[in-house]
Amino acid sequence: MAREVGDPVALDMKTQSTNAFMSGGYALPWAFSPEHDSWKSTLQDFVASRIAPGAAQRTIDERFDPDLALAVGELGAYGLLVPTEYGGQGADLRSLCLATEETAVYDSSMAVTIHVQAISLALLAHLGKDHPDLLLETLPKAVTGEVFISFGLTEPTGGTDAGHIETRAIKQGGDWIINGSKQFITNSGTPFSKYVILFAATGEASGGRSPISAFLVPLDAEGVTVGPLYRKLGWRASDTHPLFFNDVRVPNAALLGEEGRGYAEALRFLTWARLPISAMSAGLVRGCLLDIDRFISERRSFGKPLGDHQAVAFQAAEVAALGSLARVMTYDGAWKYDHGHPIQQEAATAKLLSAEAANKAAYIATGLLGGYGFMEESAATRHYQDARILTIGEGTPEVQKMLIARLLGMGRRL
Amino acid sequence: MNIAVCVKQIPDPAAPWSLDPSTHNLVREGKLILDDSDAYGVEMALQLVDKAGAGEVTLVSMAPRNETSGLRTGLAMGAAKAILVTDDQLAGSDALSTAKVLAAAIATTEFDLVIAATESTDGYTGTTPVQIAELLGLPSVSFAKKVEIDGSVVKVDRQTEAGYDEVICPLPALVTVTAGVVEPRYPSFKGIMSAKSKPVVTLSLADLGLVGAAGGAVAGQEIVSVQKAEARQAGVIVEDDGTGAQQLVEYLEQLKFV
Ligand SMILES: Cc1cc2nc3c(=O)[nH]c(=O)nc-3n(C[C@H](O)[C@H](O)[C@H](O)COP(=O)(O)OP(=O)(O)OC[C@H]3O[C@@H](n4cnc5c(N)ncnc54)[C@H](O)[C@@H]3O)c2cc1C
Repeated sequence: MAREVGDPVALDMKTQSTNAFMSGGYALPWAFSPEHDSWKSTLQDFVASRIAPGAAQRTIDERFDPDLALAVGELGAYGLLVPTEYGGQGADLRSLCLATEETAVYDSSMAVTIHVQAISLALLAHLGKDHPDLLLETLPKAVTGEVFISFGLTEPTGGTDAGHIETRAIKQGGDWIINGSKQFITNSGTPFSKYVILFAATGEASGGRSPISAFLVPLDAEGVTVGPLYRKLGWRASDTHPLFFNDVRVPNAALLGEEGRGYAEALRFLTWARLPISAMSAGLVRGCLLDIDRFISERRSFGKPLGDHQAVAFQAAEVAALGSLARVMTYDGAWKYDHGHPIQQEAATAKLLSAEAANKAAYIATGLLGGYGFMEESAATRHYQDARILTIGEGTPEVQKMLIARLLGMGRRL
Repeated sequence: MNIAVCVKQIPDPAAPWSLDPSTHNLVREGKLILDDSDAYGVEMALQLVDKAGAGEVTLVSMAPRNETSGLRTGLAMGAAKAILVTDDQLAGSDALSTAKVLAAAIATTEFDLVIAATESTDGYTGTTPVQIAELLGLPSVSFAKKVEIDGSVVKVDRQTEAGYDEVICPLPALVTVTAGVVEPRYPSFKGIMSAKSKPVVTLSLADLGLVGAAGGAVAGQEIVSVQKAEARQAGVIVEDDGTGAQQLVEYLEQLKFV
């Protein structure tokens, strides 16, 4: 950049990008308060100095870092949606979306760790609101990250048809006896993992499906086995295990909410949980754009930087536009939720489009990096690995389309 | 233990800065943020108050347009309250004017210790803190890399070119801290939310009785011109064809190093 003394002199002080879009994504001034802005800037500082530096190696090593997980707890990310009386932040959904988005710019594994802990704690506070003693015993430590609580819904027989559950809980005296297994359960085998919110069929089927209840099951209860760590394509530094339940006895106090209503209530309550995943997609796209920007400004071909070739710049522009789409959809939904509007349409649409945008962006990014886009230490490669799950977890595109179609009035036929 | 911390709110170093073509002062439009070098002072103060078990940290700042964004960051870190001096007449203040204003503002609160950074990231004069100490009649210790309170004295390891001096100084005093003194905490979500309701007292030059005594109009210092820093020349690359050592010695001789 040419600068003249006497004109306003730009002092080239900065080390990172001078470009607000590159560092913060598509601006959405209407969506945020000054406190959101402060939270975002704290998150950005924390991510840059604590999360980003080891992200590549943790992913390569499939290593969940307990110290880092505790530092995230200190920042306050896990308890964002937990009421303050249980040690939480009593914050809004946009604050959680900012946390998963900013983290996913560099490390989707840590972002999903935050996401699952945050939704599990919020769900526990919601389903357990008639058990303040149980909440006081569990939530304050979970908010800091000293205790992890996982979310156990998916079974080996299928996650999309989640209402079909084979894990059973049978009442015996004042207790429940649980048998069955769960699959792909995030945060269930870390040094802090102490509980799972478990969904199990209770009572007899009426009209083909058993009523499903939710229980808070301690992972050290007799009969619970945490299976071996899954080896994964992406989210490799997040912690995922199968869980097995063999005649596990829990007291009636472990039942969360009304008997037979736990699943329906969880599903209704967690509509918003698609938005922090959509935010992760937005963050991942920004991460792709940063890596593209770094690479195409440094690397030269045919006598000029790659980015000066229009065909390359257009691809970068497309990634930027995909990121903008994901951001707008995410925070439109989160803003509406925070202001009491219904968000079924918004949550499904944001999840569907953002996750697909992330996959497209990561595909473009790895392509633009050439051979480096195939090397495991590249950020673009990591984003490509991490993007794939975004269309699978929290409901596949088919599930989102089922929901959207139902809202269009096509429900009966799907 | 009550500690006043001088904090500067500066334009975000991550965005391009510019100088006003007529005054050559830094353009301070838009949002200002807490100067990174002051985050160390805030952290140091919070730790000292914590250790003492009683007292509070007060932030003191001079900034245009009632700007409080940077103060909110310090409050989110844990400071109890802030004093902001803001006045149109302060535009173009020099270091001495700034020191007069900050000293007068500090004098409105109770303090045992004043902490400042060794210098600001946007001005780099490094002269304001010691002038504040002089105006308040306080002893000052600069370049602290370690600070401890022991009864009625402050013990400071003072960074020097050769190592460090151990300095003991009676309280109240002013200490300037270096970037290495402590690791600043990240403002937590709770901190950010509670900062919203912490008191920020806003004072004008008149409130401090300094009309005509401080500000741009009485600045004794003026920036007359700004020159572009010379671009660094590329270094000399010595290929070692067996005479590398010889070439290095010749090069150093030429620079009169050997
Ligand atoms: C890394 C990772 C972490 C996870 N963490 C958790 C967790 O913490 N807790 C938890 O409970 N679960 C978790 N899951 C599970 C995840 O939610 C499920 O994998 C997801 O819901 C899909 O379920 P499934 O794997 O059983 O696939 P299936 O349900 O078997 O689906 C297979 C395919 O069939 C399609 N399909 C199914 N039914 C229909 C239909 N009617 N019409 C059209 N297409 C259909 C699906 O869209 C999909 O493409 C995790 C998964 C992974 C990979």
